[in-house]
Amino acid sequence: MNPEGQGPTRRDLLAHSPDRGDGAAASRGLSCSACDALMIDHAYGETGDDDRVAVARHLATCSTCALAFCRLKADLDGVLEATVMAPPGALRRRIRAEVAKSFGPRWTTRLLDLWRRPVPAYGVVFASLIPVMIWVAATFRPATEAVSVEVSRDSRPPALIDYDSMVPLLPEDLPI
Amino acid sequence: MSTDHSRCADEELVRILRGGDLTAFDVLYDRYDRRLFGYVRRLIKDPCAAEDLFQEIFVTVLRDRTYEPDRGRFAAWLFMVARNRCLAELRQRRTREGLAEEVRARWQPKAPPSPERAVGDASRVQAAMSALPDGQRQLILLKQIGELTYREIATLLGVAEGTIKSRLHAATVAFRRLLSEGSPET
Ligand SMILES: [Zn+2]
Repeated sequence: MNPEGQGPTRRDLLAHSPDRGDGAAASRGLSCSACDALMIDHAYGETGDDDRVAVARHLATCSTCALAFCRLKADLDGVLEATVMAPPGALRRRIRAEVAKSFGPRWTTRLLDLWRRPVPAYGVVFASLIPVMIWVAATFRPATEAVSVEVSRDSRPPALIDYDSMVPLLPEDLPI
Repeated sequence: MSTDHSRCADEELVRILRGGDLTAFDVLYDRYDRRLFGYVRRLIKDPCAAEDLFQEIFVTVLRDRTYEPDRGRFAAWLFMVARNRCLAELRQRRTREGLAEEVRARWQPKAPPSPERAVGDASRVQAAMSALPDGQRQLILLKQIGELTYREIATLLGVAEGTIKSRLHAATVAFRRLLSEGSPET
């Protein structure tokens, strides 16, 4: 690692300096020490394309580094396993209710959902009959209204027309 | 509407949710509930306070329209808010209760680890994580639980990416050393 803490440079990594590893691995382009320097980044998924391939290739051929990498991954995976925790179910309902207040379906969305809802076959037939029913209603309604008005006027007894019980009787109308 | 959003990216889910489809919330919640709750619980020991904080973080993140899905990952935004809220809560608690309790809990002698404990055992990992300095623990949690990139953590903490890389390397080495040796108390 360089003094700035930026990790080894690419030239360092590709240098054939198997100070603690086997020569076979080094001959494939990455020394054991170089692989070791990249191992944490590799475990965190932070190696660039070239380095990722180089480390993977080295791990496939060097059992020492492969074992070290497996241990590192197991330790880091252990952090995830030891940390994740399911929250109580009631929390989900509470949070959902809170979020629904802000992002609940608007009336336009609800209307659109209603429109998109699957329509059964008899619904289509019924919908096609609506214009016919409107036409029938429009054709026959005026005639029946006229007749009914006429009937109602004729049916009133003549004696009762303009009769008001509260009006005092005129002298000529008083009973003898 | 029963649309399947399970394959949508987080950022797309945020857009869908803002359009009024709450099924997007369900998918997002299922993706992050265990990780986020675990993260909060790791930092806030009081279970009730952790639950309230978890709810507050989730609602804040989803309601806040200042987050633009086109400009950054949802996970980074979520854990950034979570980290800031947890730290604020910790600061408040420390001011209220003082450091005495924490110091006593930290240095209280613990029973030695039993030999039958397997490597990677959750309690050993937790002990090692607890023994790490706050900064190092935060880095490992953001990386492993938040799945943030070096760059995202650097942006969050306002430091150079290379600095995060070297700090995370140091934190990882320290964590593994504690894991293999046992925490300082044991
Ligand atoms: Zn090797």
